[in-house]
Formats: sequence, structure tokens, C-alpha cells
Amino acid sequence: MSNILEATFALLIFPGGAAALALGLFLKGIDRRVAARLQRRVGPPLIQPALDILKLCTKETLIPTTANEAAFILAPVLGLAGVLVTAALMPIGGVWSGVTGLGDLLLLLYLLPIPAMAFMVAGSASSSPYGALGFSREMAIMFAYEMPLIAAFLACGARAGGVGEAAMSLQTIMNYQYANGPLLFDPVMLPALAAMIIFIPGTMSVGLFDIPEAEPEVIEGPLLEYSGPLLAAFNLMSAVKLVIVLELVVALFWPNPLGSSVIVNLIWHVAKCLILMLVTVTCFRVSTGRLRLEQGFTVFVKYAAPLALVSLGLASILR
Amino acid sequence: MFKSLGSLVTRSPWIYRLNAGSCNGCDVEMATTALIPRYDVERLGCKYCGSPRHADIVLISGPLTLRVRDKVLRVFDEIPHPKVTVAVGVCPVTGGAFRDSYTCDTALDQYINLDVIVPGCPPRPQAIIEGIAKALEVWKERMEEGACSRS
Amino acid sequence: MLPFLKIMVKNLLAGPSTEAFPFAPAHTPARFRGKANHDKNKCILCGICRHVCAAGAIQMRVVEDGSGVEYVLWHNSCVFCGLCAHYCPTKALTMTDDWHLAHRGEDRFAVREDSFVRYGQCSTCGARIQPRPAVIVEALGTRYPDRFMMCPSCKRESLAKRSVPAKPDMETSETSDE
Repeated sequence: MSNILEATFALLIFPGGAAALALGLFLKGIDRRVAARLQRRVGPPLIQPALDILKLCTKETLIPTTANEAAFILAPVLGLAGVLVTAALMPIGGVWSGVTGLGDLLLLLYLLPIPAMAFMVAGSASSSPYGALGFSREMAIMFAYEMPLIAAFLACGARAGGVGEAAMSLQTIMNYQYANGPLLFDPVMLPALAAMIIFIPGTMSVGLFDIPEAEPEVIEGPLLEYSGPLLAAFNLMSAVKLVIVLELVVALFWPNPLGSSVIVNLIWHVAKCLILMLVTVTCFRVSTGRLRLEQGFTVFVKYAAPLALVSLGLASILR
Repeated sequence: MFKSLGSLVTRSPWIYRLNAGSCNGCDVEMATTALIPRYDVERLGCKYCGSPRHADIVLISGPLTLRVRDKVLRVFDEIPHPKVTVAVGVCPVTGGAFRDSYTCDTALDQYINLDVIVPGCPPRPQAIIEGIAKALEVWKERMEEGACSRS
Repeated sequence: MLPFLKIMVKNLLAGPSTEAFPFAPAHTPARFRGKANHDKNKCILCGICRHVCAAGAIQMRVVEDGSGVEYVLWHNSCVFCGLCAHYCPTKALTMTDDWHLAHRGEDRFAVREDSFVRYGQCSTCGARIQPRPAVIVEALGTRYPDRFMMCPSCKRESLAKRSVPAKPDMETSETSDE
């Protein structure tokens, strides 16, 4: 009984559900504010993303007559539900152990593409040519950025695992780091870290990799036909996705808590996520333009994936 | 249902630019208002969006030429309620310098109800920001009256 | 290498360059052409402003009883070119630097410059002439101030009287003609 209660609490309040939504909107607010400062502007108030969500909920929902109505409505709802579940599974060093057991890294590998999948379903269900373009771009870029992600997972697992076996469990990787210091300061893992830093803007579609949603080109692609609460669901989804991706990289490379106090650890965790976001999302999107689809593909296949593979190789040899 | 939220909701106006055959003068001023740090409309929560489905405030420029008339009206219908229209420049109201031209039969306000008008040829960016501020008042009033749905 | 990093740091240190406008008054450049202003006490009803107006924003209508002219300048038609102010001989039309013209859609017919210019009267016979405000008197009427205030026919008359030697019979016969 207490297990069920605990799981419900984790899914609905902390660390999934409400806490993940709040953290995501907070990070988005900081992102917009800092981006404005980098462009010598004042920027919106910190609660602007939450105000946007509230505003969208009061708007009318329009559904194109040619769209597949069920898929059109279900895509954002399922996407949001998927990321909220994933957020409950993410471990927070010293606060929450997340999903435990063997192979939770594989589970995450299956859960991470859910937002991208929701995007694709939305793009194809909206029956708009721009949505279809966004759909095909999202799919192509997803194939590209999954490669360095898997290679980096394997590298971390190989580094943390015992002789002859890679640990496909976040908990094992985190325990290894508690014992031997964070992987961030491990020279063998630096290429994998670089690969993950390229992966974050790729999966969040910002800066160089703003390819599926490119506003001037395909007018926000799959989101073009969405309005009102459904668009709000997509915005929330992308905010929580940001949280998940940042928490994943923090867990893989620097999960070490600051002390034994839960509050301090939580603040420390948020601070790490914030710094990671400022570097990989905010500064990146302010200072770079957009690549073409095949150029973006090349970045992942030619640079990010080999970097992660180098780490994997080194970690396997230097065990 | 959303009546009491008026003051919160109007802090997040998303702006859509609709060109009804304008000479591009007003569009340049709108781009200036949107993009350069000196005017920074993001302070008011504004965001320029590419899709009419995301818009709250529509900035219309141009005298409504015959060639774009049907397309403009169609795009305008795609914008979800509640929406507020702001006419930028004198063209949408009277035709301005293009009045009585063979390319436009009548001014835009015969087809679309203009809520706020920002005269000028083109108006300066500060005047456009002032118009947006007036539009927020209109939007708030509508939220309080509850008179903002399509039906 | 990576010059944008330098620019980002510089921007961050320099702080925002945003004007405080919607929350504080904005700077208006000198000679800014805002809404036109019509001064009915200087207008001589020559109509040159209506003639040069590119947008046709100026209307002049004689009122029904014929006592003057209703002068209307529609700000929603005006394209702020300033030609009217440039050509106005008495500077009755001026471009102010007021750009606060944004208004509600239902007020669109109220946003205009409305004035009533009364016709002048001939100083001799009382006939209807163009107004003779002080500006135009100072500019053109200082040599013959009396004659300047007359209607064309009284002016011709007074000119004729001046050129003919003053003989009592001539004068009486001319006045009896009229």
C-alpha cells in the first residue's frame, strides 16, 4: 500500500508531475530572461512561461477539418503524460533514487523519444504541408542524435561497470561516481561529455539544430495548426523534456550531492541543471544560426557519435 | 469562467503580422518594434509568432488589395478567439495614399472590425507599442465581459 | 576564435539598451512630423493645403448660412508628408511632434482636426471676402493697410479714385452709377 502511495506521490507531485512542471517553467523563464540579457534587452518576467500557458488555456481550440482528429488531440496529451512519467523516474543525487533495478538506462532510452514521437504524430495528423515537413525533419534528426546518446550511455556504463560487463543501470553509474568522483572530471569520459553537450541542443531543437520547428522556414512545423490548450500541452511537454534531458546528463556526469541535507542537495541539483542549461541551451541558441537538415545530421554522425565512441573504447580498454 | 483572469492573461500577448497588401513601410516598423533591443516588446510578454493559430493580437497593415483580399480574410478566420485587431498605419482605415486605387475597392475596415488604430505612414515603433498597450485594454475588457467566443 | 563569445560577454556587462517607453515618456526628435495642427486664427482659406495634400485628408466646406468654412483634417487619412505645412503661406498649418494617435476603432471618426474659419468682411461695403488675419496683414498689407481690408470691387474703386484727379462732379457721378 505504501509503495503505491509513494509511486503516486512521485508521479503527481515530486519529482515528476507538479515539481517537474514547475522546474521546467522556471528554467524556461530563466532561459528567456538570460537570452534577452545576452541580446542587450530587458526580457520578460520570470513567470512569463507560466503566463503563456495560462493564456493558451483560455483560447479557442481549432482543429483543421482535414486533420485526423483523434491523433491530433492525443499527440500532445500522450506526449505530456510520457514526459511526466519519465520525470518521475529521473534520479536526483542525494534526494531521490529514481527507478532502480537492472536496465533502467534501457527504459530511459525507450522513454526519451516520446516527445519527439508526439511531435511526429502531431505533424502528420495535422494534414498541413508544413507539419509534414516538420515531421520528416524531426524523424531524420532523431535518428542522428540517438546515436551519440546510446554511445554515451554505453561509455558511462562501461566506465562504471565491473570487469567484462557494462552497467546498464543509472544507480550503478551514480554509485560508481559517489565512490570514485564524478565522471565530469574523468579524462576518459570527456569526449562522451562533449557528445552529450551537442546532444542537448539537438534534442531540444535550439540554435544550430532548430531544424524541425524552424519558425522562418516551416513556421514551427508540427505546431503550426495547434492552438489553445493543446498548444499549451506541447509547451509544457517541451519544458519537462528540458528538465529530463538536463537531469539525465547531470545524473550521468555529476550526480554527487553536496551534503546529507535533502534541501541543500535539491538546490544544488537545480543549480547544476541551471548551469548546464545556460551553457547548452541559452548561450547556444543566442549565438548560433540554423543548419540545414543534412548539415545537422552530419554534426551528430561525424562528430558527436565518434566522440562518444572514443570514450566507450577508452573506458573498455582502461578498465 | 475566465473572467477574473483578465489581468493575468493579458500579460502574454502573442503577436501576428498580417500584410494586406501593404507597401512594406509599416512592416519594417513592426519588424523594428519586434526585433531591436531598444524597444524590446518582450517586456510586455509579447512574442511574434509565425502561425495565425497561435496569435492573440493581429497587427494588420495595408489597404487590402483585391489580389490578397480572400487570402487575408481566410487567414484572419484561422486566428482563435479571443483576438484583438490593431490597424498599423492609415491604410487599413481609409486606404491612405492608395485610396481610390484600381487595386483596392474598399478599405479593410469594411470587412474586419478594427479594435485599435495606430495612424501614421508608417507610425513610429513607440506608437505601435502604444497601440499594443491599448489592444491589451480591449482584450481585458472582453475577457471581463466574457464576450470573446466565436459563437 | 569564437568572436561571438566576446560579444556575448560584452553585451552581458553593458546591460540592456532598452528604452523605458511604455512605462515612461519616450524621446521625440526635434522636427518630428506628428499630427498636423490647424490654427483657425491664421488661416486665409487659400486652399493650397487641400490642393497639395497627397492623401486627400483635408476637406473645406462652406457652411449653410455662408458665414465661414468648416475645415476638417482627417488624421486617419493623413500620411504625415508635411506638404501642407510647407506650402501654407501663413503657417496656419504646422506639423506638431505629437505622435500619440493610437485610438480605439470606434473613435475613428473623432480623430480629426476640426475648425471653423469665419469669412472676413470688406471694411467699406461689408461684402464677404477671405479672412484677413494679422499675419497676412503684416506680410502683405503694410503698404496700403486700408485698401488691403477691402473686397475686390471696393479696391478697384479706391484705386480708380486715387489715379483720377479729385473733381467733385466726377466723384458724384461715379457713385451715382453704382
